[in-house]
Amino acid sequence: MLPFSQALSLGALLFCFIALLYMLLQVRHLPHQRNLAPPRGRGWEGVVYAYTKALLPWGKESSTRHLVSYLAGVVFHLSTFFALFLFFFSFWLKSVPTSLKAGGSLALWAGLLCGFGLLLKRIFTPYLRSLSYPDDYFSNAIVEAFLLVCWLSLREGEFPPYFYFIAVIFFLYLPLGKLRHALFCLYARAVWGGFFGRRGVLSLWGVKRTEER
Amino acid sequence: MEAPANHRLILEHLKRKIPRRLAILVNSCVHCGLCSDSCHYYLAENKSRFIPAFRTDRLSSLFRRYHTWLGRLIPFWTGARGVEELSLKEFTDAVFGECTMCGRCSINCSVGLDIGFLIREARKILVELNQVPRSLQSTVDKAVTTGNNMAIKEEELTGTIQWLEEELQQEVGDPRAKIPLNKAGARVLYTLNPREPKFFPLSIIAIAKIFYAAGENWTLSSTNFDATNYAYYSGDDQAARIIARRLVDEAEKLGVNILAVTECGHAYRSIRWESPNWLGKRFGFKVKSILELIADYLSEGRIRVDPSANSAPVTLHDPCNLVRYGGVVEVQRHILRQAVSNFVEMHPNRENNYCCGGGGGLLSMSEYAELRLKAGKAKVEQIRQTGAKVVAAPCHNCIDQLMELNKKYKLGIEARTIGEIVADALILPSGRVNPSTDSPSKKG
Repeated sequence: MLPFSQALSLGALLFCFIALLYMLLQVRHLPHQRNLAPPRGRGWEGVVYAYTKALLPWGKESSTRHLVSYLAGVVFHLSTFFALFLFFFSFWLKSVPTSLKAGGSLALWAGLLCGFGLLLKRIFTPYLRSLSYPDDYFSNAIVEAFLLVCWLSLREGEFPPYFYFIAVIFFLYLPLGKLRHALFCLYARAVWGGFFGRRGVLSLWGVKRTEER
Repeated sequence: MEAPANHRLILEHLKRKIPRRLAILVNSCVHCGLCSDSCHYYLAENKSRFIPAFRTDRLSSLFRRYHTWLGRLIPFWTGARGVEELSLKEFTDAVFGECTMCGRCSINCSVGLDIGFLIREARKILVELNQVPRSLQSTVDKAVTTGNNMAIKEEELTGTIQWLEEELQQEVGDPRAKIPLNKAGARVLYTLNPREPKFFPLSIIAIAKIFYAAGENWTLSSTNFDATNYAYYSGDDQAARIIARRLVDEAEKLGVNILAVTECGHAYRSIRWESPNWLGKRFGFKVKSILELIADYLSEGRIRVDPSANSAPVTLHDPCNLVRYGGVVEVQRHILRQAVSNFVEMHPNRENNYCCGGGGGLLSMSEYAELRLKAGKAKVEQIRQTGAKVVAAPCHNCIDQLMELNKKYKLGIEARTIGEIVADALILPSGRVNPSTDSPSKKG
């Protein structure tokens, strides 16, 4: 039998999964325009571009101009993926291996600092504040709380119930608020790459197509 | 507060006409704000309302209110807003008056949202509410009712073409040089922006000269010659379909292989990329920008040019709908490198080039003229930094905006189409260098 906190977190994860799947199916049922114009470039090349070159700090002007924010965002996200990995890992291990402790703590601290920095930026930058709603602040805060309990668990060498309780809130909130971008972003990025790749605007090798395909 | 009838229309639209792509995009925006300085409006005015994410949030907030769980239960939490909270005036200003749908923010969005697409979706809602700015709507109406957006009558066009043909014959020194009209079986149907026969006829001569030099089998249509489609800008798919169908029918009737689009960004995008979707069919002919044809002629040795005929420094403006959304990126560079002796790139360029401010139908919306000229500041700075005396702009809308910017900001440049530049450098088949030394048309 799983402890109550762990069982609850798995229940929340299941809810999260089903809710996201439901949303995805809902979106898939919306009307979709087929592209009938003959392509100039390759859609798949654009998708690969979107997931490789476009992610580099110099891949887009916006990331180059806002390099610190962009890198902070990358670290924050990588750190969150690591925390999720730890969550799944925690069901198989009663205690944290020493090999994970130092590196893991560093990754989580980096994520915490970057996430906190982004939160402060959102609070204190007027134009960003004008774009933000309670959901934006709360989403950041709940991820930070998740990273924090992960770090505390690593420090203590075991995964206490509060780790799972925070995970419950995290998973329950994920499909409801802006955190659902975790799913839709992947989709949107592929759509972006496919669209501009097909039109011959994005090219993996920097060679724009001059001919209709 | 807006009329309940409008509310019902918006609700109906949100219920039935939300496309999949829109739902994906609005569910993905994280409000990071990194798109802010990719927008020429924001760079010029530095106001929050010009941040692309802020602009699209008017549409996203409606979506959240009716399509998300939290938006339905506790709207304030996610910034979800119901139709009753929507100011149509603000909404219209944001999506028509303060955005050219240039897509620079789309290319630079950290997530990958096509914001230009979202703005057009918002415009679609306003079409249903009859909220399209009057001047833009009248341009669309004119095109739908008369066949072209300047209501040019067939006799008027035919008269202009006859006059231009005589000019062409004089220029090339060949009385057999023609500007064919309605020629069935031609290889190329060349389409125009109505501004050309109306205000810039010499840009038609320029292209006719290139066709003559290349020995092309081409034609113009006396009735369905308008390549533009302002319904693309207004967001009216039904009107866009009517306008597009005319061109497609004409190309099919004449049995051409290629429909060549004049130097006009949105016209190219509309007929090349959007029309097959509007009409629900693949075309039996190719759609090419005239630039692609000119580049082909140069590559195949069908035309030769003398770059010394264009010795002043020339820079290139990349029209958003031709380049960023159209994929015609390199051919214009290939042409200019051969046709001018001093070509200077703007920075940033290609898909990262700044919009001149005249796109999105803004040039036809007199209501927003003042802001449009302010929004052109980023382009003005780009041009200034090149030190160029000539700006090659393969788009008639962009040329109009550049001419206005030239006047307002005292740039001291000349805005010209690439066809005009090439025509000036043409070495005619007789072996003589182009006799025309005057710049044909567009001084700023």
